[in-house]
Amino acid sequence: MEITFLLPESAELSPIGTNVTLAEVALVTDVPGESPQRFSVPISDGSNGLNLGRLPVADGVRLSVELRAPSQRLIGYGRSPSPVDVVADGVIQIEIRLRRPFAYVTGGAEIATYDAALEPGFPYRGAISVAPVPLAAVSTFAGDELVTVSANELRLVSTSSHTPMEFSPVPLAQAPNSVALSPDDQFAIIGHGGATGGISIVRLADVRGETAAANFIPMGNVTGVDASMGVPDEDPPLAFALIDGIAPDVECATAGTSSIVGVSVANPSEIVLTVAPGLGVSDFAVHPVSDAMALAAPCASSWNVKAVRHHADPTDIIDLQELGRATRIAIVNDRVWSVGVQPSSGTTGARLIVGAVGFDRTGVTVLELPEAEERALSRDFTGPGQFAELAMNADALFPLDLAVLPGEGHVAVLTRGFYHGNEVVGTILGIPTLIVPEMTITAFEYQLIDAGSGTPVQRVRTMCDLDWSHDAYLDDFACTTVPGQDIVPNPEFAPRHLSVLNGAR
Amino acid sequence: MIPIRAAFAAAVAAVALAQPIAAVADKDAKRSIAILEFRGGSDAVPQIGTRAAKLLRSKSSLRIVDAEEARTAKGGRVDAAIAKCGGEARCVAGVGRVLGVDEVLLIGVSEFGDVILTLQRIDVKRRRVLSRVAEALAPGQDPDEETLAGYLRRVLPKEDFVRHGTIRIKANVTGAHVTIGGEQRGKTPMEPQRVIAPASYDISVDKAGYVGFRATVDVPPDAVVQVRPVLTRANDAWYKKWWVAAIAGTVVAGAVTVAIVATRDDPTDVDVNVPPFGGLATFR
Repeated sequence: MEITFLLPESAELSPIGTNVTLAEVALVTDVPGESPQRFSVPISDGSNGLNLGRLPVADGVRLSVELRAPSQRLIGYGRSPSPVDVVADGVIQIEIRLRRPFAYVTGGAEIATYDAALEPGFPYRGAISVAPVPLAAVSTFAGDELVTVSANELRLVSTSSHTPMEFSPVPLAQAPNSVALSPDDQFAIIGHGGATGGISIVRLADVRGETAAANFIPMGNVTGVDASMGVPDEDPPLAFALIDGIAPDVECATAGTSSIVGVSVANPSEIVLTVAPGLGVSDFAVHPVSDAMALAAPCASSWNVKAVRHHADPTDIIDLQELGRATRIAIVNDRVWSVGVQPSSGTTGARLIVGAVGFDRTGVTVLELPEAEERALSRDFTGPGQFAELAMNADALFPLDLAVLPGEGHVAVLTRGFYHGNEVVGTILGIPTLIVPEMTITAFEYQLIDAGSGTPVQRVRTMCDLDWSHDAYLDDFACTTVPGQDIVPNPEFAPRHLSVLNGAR
Repeated sequence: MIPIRAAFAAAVAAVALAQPIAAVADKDAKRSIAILEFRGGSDAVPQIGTRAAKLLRSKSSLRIVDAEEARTAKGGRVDAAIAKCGGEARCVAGVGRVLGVDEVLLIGVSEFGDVILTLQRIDVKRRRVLSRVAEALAPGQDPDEETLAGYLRRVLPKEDFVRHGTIRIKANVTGAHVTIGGEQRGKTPMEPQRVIAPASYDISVDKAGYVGFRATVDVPPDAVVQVRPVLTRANDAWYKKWWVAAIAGTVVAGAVTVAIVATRDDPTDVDVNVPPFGGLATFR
């Protein structure tokens, strides 16, 4: 077998480009019926090629390639777009696109890019300019393209150059709030919210052939979408829509119920399945090639990560994991990742909790992140060495999105947090004085979290909105950073949607 | 000249075969040996001791002390003592003891019409000759590297020419079974593993519930190769799980490029090769 690695030409995008050091190439082989195997080779330079061991002769072999730095950090990843039949009597040639594990965040004037391959100290933030401004984006399974949706059109962006591809945009009937791709990369499913919302289905081959049109199917208030292969597998892919999903910051006392409907992309006007768990669902994900579905039900009285077999028995809702107010969910292989919150108490602030569990409820992992914190700095002091800084833990924290990086070594999250600081009264010239006013911060953040330790390794605050009562001695404040936190240059933005190249969400 | 050399060589060969080769390379520690010259009024085959030392450094696992090092450590007394010993084994062993080595390889050069080159391996502790090789060389003839290496192989145990390296395995999980070159070596965490070098070794690290680690490492002589296997949790394949409806099989016909370009006979597995990457042809 010969595997050709395809790499981006740009050194800033290539896994063997600038600011990364190649130390190891690993081939992960997943043969049906056997445990996955990893074969790794120490290598610093690909100019002489390499041997990646031997593969058993078998059908339906899934291959992925990992490039790692000396620290074992993942610097590149790629996978065969479809299973490979390994035959004994021939040499199979396949191509695998290797890409850095970029996180793409929409919500600003550009798509913000965060390079998860880079070690601390390297410039990991970038941007992709796409007009009109995309509201959501998702990468193809093959890793070669990013499908973006703006208020009124769908476009393709090359992951090799981080520039829009030359194909004509596809008009959309309504503003979208979400986008997903079928596992075969053939169809984009776009979600539209509101009473007149629904889903749009776009065949990506038609986009490249300049003949595409979005097929809009009214379904009501769609708040999330996903897709899987057909059931049975020779059938066309299935598109799923979350109807009336609840927001991450919903008051549970007022939360309604949600449902998930599935349609065939070949005949989307006919609903082929409905999952109605009788709860409010804030996010869902479907297994790409089975009938497994995972749900985040943050207002469930317990076990707010749940599963259901959408074809075998859509009424049997199974408890998977108890994770404080899980609001976002992702499926990687047969594991369900979720992100929730441990709420603030009298003495501690709110913190994120990341969980993972197999569909059979084995392999439970729970990561408690450090307490979320923001800081405000008084600008009233101008003398050298004079400053007043207030650190505030989060009163409330809401995960807005979750993506799991390839290899499951890191997860990326978007959050919105509310921070409150009490007033501080002191004495000036013997007179009791309100020195520091009561203040609040609303902050949005992107975090890349080490899935082994729960430690944030990249933190970018995309927006900080600080408000205070103007009745105190100190009356001029600005958001400042906490250690390890970066901020975006103006303009700030509230992130909407997160996707990771070759990752899962 | 030629008949005399042949007869002499045959006689010495018989002596060498009669000597038991007792010493075997220590499993873990390097044996030390001083390479010293004794010249019976001959300046033939110049630098033969230095050349032998250089050869042994590159081809054996021995710790070599050459004449220059011996002089550096003990001054000119070493040459004088060797000359005084006149090739007598007990006396040379005393010099070796002063140098702190396990053995002395005494290379003697003398002339009886032909140049007579003798190599005596002397055990310092037991103060006796372990093996001896002699060759008659035509005047002006200098043995090339291959010939000299042949003499050394005859006088030293073959185990001395096996070199070693070390593989240090530091996995992220404990209790994983480690196999090096097809041989079970134990479980992690484990001591550094001594292996014959230079050689290439297939390494596997396996633990139930984790994705197995496979790698091939090249181990140079006297080098320590560090391998850091990262085992990630293996989840049983999705198609074996309870939640899967009967839809197991391939995902879809995708865009993968598959082309048969050659044939192989191997019915069970195939080699996986990656052409050079990073060049212009692989940009995409």
